Amino acid sequence: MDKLLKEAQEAELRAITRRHFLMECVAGVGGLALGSMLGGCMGARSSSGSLASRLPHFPGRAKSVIYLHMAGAPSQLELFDYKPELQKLHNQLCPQSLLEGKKFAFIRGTPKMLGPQATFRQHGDSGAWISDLLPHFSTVADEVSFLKAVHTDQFNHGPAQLFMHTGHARLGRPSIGSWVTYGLGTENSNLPGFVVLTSGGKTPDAGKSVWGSGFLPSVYQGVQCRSHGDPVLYISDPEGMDRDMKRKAIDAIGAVNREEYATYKDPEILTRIAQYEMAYKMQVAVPEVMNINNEPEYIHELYGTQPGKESFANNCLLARKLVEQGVRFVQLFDWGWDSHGTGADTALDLGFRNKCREIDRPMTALLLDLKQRGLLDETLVVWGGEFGRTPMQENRDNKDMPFAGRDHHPDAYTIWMAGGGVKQGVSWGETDEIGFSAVNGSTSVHDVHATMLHLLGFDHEKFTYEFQGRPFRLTDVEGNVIRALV
Amino acid sequence: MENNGDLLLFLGRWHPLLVHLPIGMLIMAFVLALLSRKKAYSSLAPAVSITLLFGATAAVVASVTGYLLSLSGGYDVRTLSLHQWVGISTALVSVLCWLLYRKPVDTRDVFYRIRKGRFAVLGLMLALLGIAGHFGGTLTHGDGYLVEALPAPMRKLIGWQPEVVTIENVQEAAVYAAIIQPIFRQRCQSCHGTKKQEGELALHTFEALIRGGETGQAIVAGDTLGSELYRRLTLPEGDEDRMPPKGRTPISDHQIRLIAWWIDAGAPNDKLVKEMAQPEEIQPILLGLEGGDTKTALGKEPVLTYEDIPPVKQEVVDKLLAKGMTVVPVAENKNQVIVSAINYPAFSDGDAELLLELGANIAQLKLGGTQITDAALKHFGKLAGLRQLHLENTAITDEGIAYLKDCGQLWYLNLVHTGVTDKGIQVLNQIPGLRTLYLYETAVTPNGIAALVQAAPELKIDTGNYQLPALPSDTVVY
Repeated sequence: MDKLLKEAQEAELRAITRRHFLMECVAGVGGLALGSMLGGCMGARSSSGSLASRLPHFPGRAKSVIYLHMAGAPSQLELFDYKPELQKLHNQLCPQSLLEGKKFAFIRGTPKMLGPQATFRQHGDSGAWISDLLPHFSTVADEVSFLKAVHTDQFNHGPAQLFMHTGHARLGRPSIGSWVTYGLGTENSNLPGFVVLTSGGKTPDAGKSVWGSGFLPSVYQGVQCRSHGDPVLYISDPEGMDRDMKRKAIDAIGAVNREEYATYKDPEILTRIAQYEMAYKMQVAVPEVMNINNEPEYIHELYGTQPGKESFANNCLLARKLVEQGVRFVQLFDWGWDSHGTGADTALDLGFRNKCREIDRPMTALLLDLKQRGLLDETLVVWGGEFGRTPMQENRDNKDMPFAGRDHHPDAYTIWMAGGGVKQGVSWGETDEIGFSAVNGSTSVHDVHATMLHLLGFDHEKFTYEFQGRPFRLTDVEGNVIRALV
Repeated sequence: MENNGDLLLFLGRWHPLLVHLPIGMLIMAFVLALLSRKKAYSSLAPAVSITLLFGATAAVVASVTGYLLSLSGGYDVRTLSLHQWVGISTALVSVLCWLLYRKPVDTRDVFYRIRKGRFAVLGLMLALLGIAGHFGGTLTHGDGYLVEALPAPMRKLIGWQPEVVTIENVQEAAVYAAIIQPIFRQRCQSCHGTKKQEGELALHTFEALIRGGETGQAIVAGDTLGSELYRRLTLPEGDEDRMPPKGRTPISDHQIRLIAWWIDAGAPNDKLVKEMAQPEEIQPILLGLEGGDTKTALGKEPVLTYEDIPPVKQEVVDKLLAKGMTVVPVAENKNQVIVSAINYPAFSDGDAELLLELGANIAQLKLGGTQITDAALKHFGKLAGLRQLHLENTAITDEGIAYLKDCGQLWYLNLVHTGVTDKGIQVLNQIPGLRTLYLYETAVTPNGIAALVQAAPELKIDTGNYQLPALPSDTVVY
């Protein structure tokens, strides 16, 4: 009997590992996370001033973010970076000087130059160059500011997407949506602070880590919602289980979890409790906000939405609805932009045009709809891919390819931002005559993040989270706010 | 000083290192002496004298090396002499302390007879040590090095004012006086200023800068690369001519670029930034000089500054929170709050009373989609700090918005899907700061807008109802 008791005690002691001990310092944060996910407590937290660091460092112009990520990396040379010189070099062999010391994902040997596969015109008072592949978007050119010389250091989709969303090319860091939700909390107590919507048939190459919470408490991870079927998997009550029973079940599980927390002090238990509560509240709130059937007909016409389908258009409309309901960060991924030219669907003059058509109306509608509702002032909209594409035509395995495509290119690509206090009609950064590398205004991924955080009221150098013995930042040890934009 | 040979200077340069030995040891001796006065620690008593012996020896060595270092010159004479004499006194008093604490040779020993006051002497020694140390720090790092880093509220307590020039609008700032001179003041003048003129160079005035120093002109107007000052700033790290010298805070890359930009433009004394050519790489640096993070670059909209006001009434906040409202400060160290009813759609006129109690603390008020009616707005004039007001999707009509004319700071007003009409909105021209007005899904007509715009030309009105034309390309599938 004694032996059994001793064994039980030992087992319990073993359960409290060094990790738990180390994490105890985080426990307070886990508790706060719970607090911030439950409405009103946020106010108590911040107005008591005990955790002033979780407030913006200065009043930010943006209060929420809609991030439109074109997964696969759209070609800047067919959309925004107009290079007439490249047209003159079309079909000529690429000079060796450009290839020296460079590594490409698929280009081998000496590729040919590929002129722009679209016609360009200047639009609006700002004179922004936008190609004819985006006829609707070009009408709102003056709302938008372009970063034309963004560079990354990754040339494969997965790492590059991770870098774009977590500031780091390896797994394990929190995504920018998690950082923002961690910093600003959620406004609507019945909805997650960070919602993810995907379209194009696939999730991004980097998987769900691009909306993961890394070392931040997992309440801050993105909640993926679907635009057809149940918006969140298993959100409806199963057959034979009514809402009251569900409530009782959650209460019982919550009681057990709280007991467990009292014993082991694992902050993830608090997160779990919060998530059960959130899931319960979401059962009512999410189907309502995720339902676009009740939107008036002219709104459907504006966005080009078709209820019940998984599409970028539906996701744009949902993004507006979510932001309107106080969701802090809405992350859209649209898959299918990897225009290598290996087939018709990835050819710049075929499949790529279809993708452009699919986003042109919805993203324009999103900006206009946010604007007419008075939401654009405080909503930052960001559009971009994970890298750019080469001015050379891809020659996979050193062979000419039947379709016009471009390889991955990390040195220069275009991102645009609108709303949320971004200066309008600016074009920052310039590439050389063929769009191969930046000649001025070179902008790193960290610079983009620093600027986004700045617009939200955070000094990216002070916005940190203590983990493994040192404070971590979204921008690591780099990043400068692009002053031309804010 | 050259005649003294390198060896003495070499020994002198050990001073900054050696000086820390007596500091540690003598403080230790004091701590031991203090503790040994208590019975429980009386066993420590014998350790005092040996610690003092080492400390005093180290102090003497430090004084000698310090003297040798001082011979090399280049220090502010007044601070140097203070440091020197207080330092030597410390060494002497520490020797005296040792004599008082050592085991007496015999009881007629003069030091044995005056041993009663020895703890006081030890205390005096500690005080001298502190003073000497402080002057030493001032010599290496410059005056005010310590307090400069003090948080602002504590600075206020000791009455120290930093010399900080904040630039509101960089284009209107004087290039030399507001941008270049502060760099010199911050990084150069402790050695090239009024107190010291290393290499016979002073940088505290424009004239002194132009005069140059020992090696001639410091700057050649219009020729950055030919300017000695720029050369010294950009020498490789470790070069003995590089400025600021090793051990001092270096000049930042941005500051160097600003100096180069200024010299290239002919090193003008009186020009404003806007009168200078501004190459693209210098623009962000210039913008970065502007103080205050709240500045908006949109230009069309007012600068969103939040002045210092008394804190919110916590008991009112608690009541609002209990109802399910959210109350969040606009930023840390700001007392203005954002109040939202997004989680409390049942918000009605009765609840508005509570808001009024927060008065000028409310900067942003989100009452969209609530049960609020015109009557609740009657006293909104009391919300003197209100900047952004959301009333979309409510039953507000013309009668209600008439009360808003007293909200003097209001610049954003959202009346989407409310009952306002052409007639009612005209009152809004009485809010001088109003910049954006949202009237989507209201009965307001172009005539009403035109009338209001005429009266308030800076107001941006959005009536929405945007449509995108159906283009042939919308349906072409490739």
